[in-house]
Amino acid sequence: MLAAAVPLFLLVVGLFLLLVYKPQLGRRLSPRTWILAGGLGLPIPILAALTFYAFWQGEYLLRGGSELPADLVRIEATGTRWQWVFRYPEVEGNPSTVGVLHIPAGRTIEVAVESDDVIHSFWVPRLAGKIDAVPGHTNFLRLRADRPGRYGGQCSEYCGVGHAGMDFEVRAHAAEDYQNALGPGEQTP
Amino acid sequence: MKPETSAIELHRALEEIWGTKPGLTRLAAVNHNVVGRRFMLTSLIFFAVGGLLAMLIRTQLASSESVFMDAEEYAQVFTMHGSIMMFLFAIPFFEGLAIYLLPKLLGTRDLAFPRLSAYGFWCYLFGGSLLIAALVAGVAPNSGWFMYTPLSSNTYSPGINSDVWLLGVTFVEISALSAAIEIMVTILKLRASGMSLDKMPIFAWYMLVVATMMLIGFPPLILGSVLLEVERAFDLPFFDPTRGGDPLLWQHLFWLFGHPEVYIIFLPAAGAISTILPVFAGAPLAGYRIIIAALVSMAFLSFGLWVHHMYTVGIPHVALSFFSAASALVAIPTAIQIFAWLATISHGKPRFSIPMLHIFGFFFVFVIGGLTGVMLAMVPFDWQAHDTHFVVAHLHYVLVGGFVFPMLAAAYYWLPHISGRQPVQHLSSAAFWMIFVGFNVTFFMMHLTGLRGMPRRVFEYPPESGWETLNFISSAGSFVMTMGFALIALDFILIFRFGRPFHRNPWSAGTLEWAMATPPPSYNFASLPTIDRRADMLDPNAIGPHLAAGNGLLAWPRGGRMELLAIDMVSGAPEHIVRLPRQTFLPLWTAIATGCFFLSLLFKVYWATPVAFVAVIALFLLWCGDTAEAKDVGRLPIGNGQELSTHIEAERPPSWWAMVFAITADATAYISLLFGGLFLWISAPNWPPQDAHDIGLSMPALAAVTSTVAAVAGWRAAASRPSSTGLLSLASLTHLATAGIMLWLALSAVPNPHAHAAAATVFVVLCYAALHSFMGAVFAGYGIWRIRSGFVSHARSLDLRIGAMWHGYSALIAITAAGFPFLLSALASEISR
Amino acid sequence: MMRNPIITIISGFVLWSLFFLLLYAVQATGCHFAGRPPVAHEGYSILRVILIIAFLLSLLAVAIPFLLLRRRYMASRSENETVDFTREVAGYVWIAAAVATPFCFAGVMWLSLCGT
Repeated sequence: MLAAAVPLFLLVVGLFLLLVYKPQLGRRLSPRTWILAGGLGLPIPILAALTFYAFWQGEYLLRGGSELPADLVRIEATGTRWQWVFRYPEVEGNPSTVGVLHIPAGRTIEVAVESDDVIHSFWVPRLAGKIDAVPGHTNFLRLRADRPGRYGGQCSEYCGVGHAGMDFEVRAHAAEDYQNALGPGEQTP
Repeated sequence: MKPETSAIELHRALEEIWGTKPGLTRLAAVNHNVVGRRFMLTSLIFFAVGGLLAMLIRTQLASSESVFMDAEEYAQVFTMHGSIMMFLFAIPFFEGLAIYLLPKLLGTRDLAFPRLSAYGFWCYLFGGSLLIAALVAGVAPNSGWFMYTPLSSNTYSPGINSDVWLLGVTFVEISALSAAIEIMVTILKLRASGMSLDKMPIFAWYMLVVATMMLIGFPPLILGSVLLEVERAFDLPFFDPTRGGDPLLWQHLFWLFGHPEVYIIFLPAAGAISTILPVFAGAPLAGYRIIIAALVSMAFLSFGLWVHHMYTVGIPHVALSFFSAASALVAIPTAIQIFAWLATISHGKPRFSIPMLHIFGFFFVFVIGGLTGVMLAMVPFDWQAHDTHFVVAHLHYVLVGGFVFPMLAAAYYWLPHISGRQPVQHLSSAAFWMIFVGFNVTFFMMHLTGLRGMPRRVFEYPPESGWETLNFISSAGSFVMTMGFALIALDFILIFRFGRPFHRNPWSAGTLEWAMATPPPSYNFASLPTIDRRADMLDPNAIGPHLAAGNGLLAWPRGGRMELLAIDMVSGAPEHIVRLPRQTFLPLWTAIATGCFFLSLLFKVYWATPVAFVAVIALFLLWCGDTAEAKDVGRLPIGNGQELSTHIEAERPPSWWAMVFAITADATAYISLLFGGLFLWISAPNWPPQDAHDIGLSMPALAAVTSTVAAVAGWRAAASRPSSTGLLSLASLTHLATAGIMLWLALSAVPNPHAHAAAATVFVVLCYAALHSFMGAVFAGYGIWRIRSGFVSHARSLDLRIGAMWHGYSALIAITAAGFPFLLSALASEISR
Repeated sequence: MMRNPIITIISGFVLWSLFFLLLYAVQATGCHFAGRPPVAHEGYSILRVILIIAFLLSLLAVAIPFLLLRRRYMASRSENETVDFTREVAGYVWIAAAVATPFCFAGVMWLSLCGT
């Protein structure tokens, strides 16, 4: 998009300056041609291509950036003022963690996002887009970390005075370490 | 008598009638020159306050873990910065500009309802002052300028802060709605003779579209604010998810207003460019008709993209696609305008001047804002960039580029008109460059911090985030920009003090506002013009003296009355004479009573609320005192051998249209309310409610009957005119009966409205209907009073016909309100799983 | 041509607005009855069929008056400048509405219907 935006910007501002100083350059085109070419001919193909590409990309991202596999890892994230609580219903002992989300790398995770109080927003910039935690609703976000590592996450909807500090960390583990990370004694970060 | 003497005598005679008197009587001013200037000046003061708050924000963010403000102070500051700039600066400023300019551009002497604009101004001033007072007292709103529930609800904001926002902003919005109706009616009915739709100055087309958008856009916000205030004050759970409410309902109502709002702010500025740019290009505006088509398209599209503020709330992708596509499409009307302007420049002999410099600023900044806007319209990109500083950068590029720069161009262009003095132009370019450079340094950096993941509305950020340098540059830039604005203020003062007086039309423009003395006399035109070509290709230098000498229409005042001309809205043929009311303190008193109404709610002195409400209605009824004619006037000469009747004897005068538009706005709020109820059924958790409401069939059916009787009686009364007190009494009684039934249903038949949003919604719908039927009774009673006072005859039936519209409309409200509980309970209990 | 030209000018987009509301309402109501699925699966074929029918209706509703209007618009150029103005502006707005309709609603053909 940047590649399209910069030339478009230069074109419009350049034309403005050019025409103010050398209007005769634009006089060969009738006003009607100017308007049809610049107002319709220029933006419509770009916008149409961009919009439909975005639809396609949106569908792809909804599935966690891959074809949706049958074996999703299901995790629950609950925003509460001002921390994130994560529960792992598929892991033995139904563990929970605060402020740290453990995930297996290389798998598609489906995070069920909820809120206990006001609206929060769950965002791990490097792994996926954001989804709001709206009280009374459960929203789903699919994300995927291809490699083990640590990824920063934060609340991105203003939720009161503690908003700035409402961050968390995603730890993606190799498959064999995932269970250990959630083992007894490991639940508090 | 020589023409000069007669011109001076004419001036004296008109000034005696139209002019604002000195001393305390200034508070009784209703003249659009005075009210328009007051609007603009007040909004500039609020702009300064909002700018000061922006400085505090930039100071806070200049370093990573600043201790300048704590989180609570910061919350109040960013909430108030946004609220002030949107509601107390941008909208009122262009309203003021439109109030000041429109009558002049259209070739008339004042707006359609001068007292209404004065009332709007006082509401704006008092409501705005309420917000500022809260800021000073440290109890300012603190939930962000879009006040998301449940953060702004009682549970999480127990203080007075949210109430200040809801009541203060609603108070201010009275001025926006009244200005919308005022502007629409003025443009449609009060143009110069001969100014058909195709000859209107382009600014009038822009403002017509903007005013229509305001008429439809503001009611959902006002409704949302009322519902949230009712939830906070009386615990009716519209937005509380634990009791069948939904926080998303607030977001829909807010953004249904909030997105059109952006175009409501942009279009007047674009209208100013379409007026100013052709003057400096030395060529008439290219693509006049296609621009109008683009404006109309934009107005509709802008109502189809509110959800693009809500891509992350969990709405299914196919629904997002409607809004995303509309958001992309709305760029096209803008592109059409931009290339129409470029075409205009290329077919003229452009000259560079201070207004053109600001238009350059507009092109540069706004195009960047538009391009980032298209990016954000794309759902996948928005999932990342939403609620980051990228959005902050985008919206400032759009609003400063699309509003502040064009309005600075407009200010430099029309300042000679207001002050009667030409710009000195020593400081002007320096000021522009400081603002331009400072702005870009400040906000371009925010694109980068946003893309690096900095969320908006954080008062501190970790030092290791890597955002500190960029933020520091932003803050430095913002101080340069502030100095630029200070220079502009100084420049304006210097122009008023030391600018050279000039004769007429300093820019060689082709529009009517320059065909008068500057600063303008209170009555604008000593006699009214007749137009035979598009109203931006006229010759003010010839028209001005011609009109000043009294050679136009309605030259000599009659019986101390303020007179102007109404035309057929399409062809521009003169239709009737409008007689305006004189200066009065009533708008001020009514606004004070309205203020008491809002204060009683704010401080929870609920016994005073109905008292204030009745006082407001009583004061409004007093307004009608000097708009009547005690006997038939018949046709009066308007000059050039033509004769017309007065508006009271006309078929569809401005006040008739005002009622049509007022009902349109009211219906928008009502439909939003009904849809809100259905939305809760579809979306909200904890449905269906535990105890289904069963209000029985008989009482709602009775209400439908009584309201229909009221409508028919009111309608017949308007037809049979002076002998209709009996019919009006019947209408009045049946209206009261309807209101009584509705209230009874709301209070006793509906299950506890505190328990569930379904009951709460039904309760509010019934109260809404009760209020409308009560107002119907007031209208009917008013009709009786007018007939008894001898103000109604076969020719003078306006009061009754305006009332008849309300009788019919309130019956529609009552019938739908009576049916709504059945619909909702059927949906909730039978079909819902 | 209708009596008030302002209504002629806006009518194309009024239709667009009505279908916008209709499609959004049908989609939301359909998903309500389908229950809230956790995953953006396909398979609400009835809902999709209804939406596609509504979409095709919207195309017809905007296209047919547009074609009729165009024929009349082409047929005569009025001497009266105001009438001429109205026809030209209304023509542009109708074209815009006729383009906006497929552009805004085409997503119903394949995008995820419910869930997030």
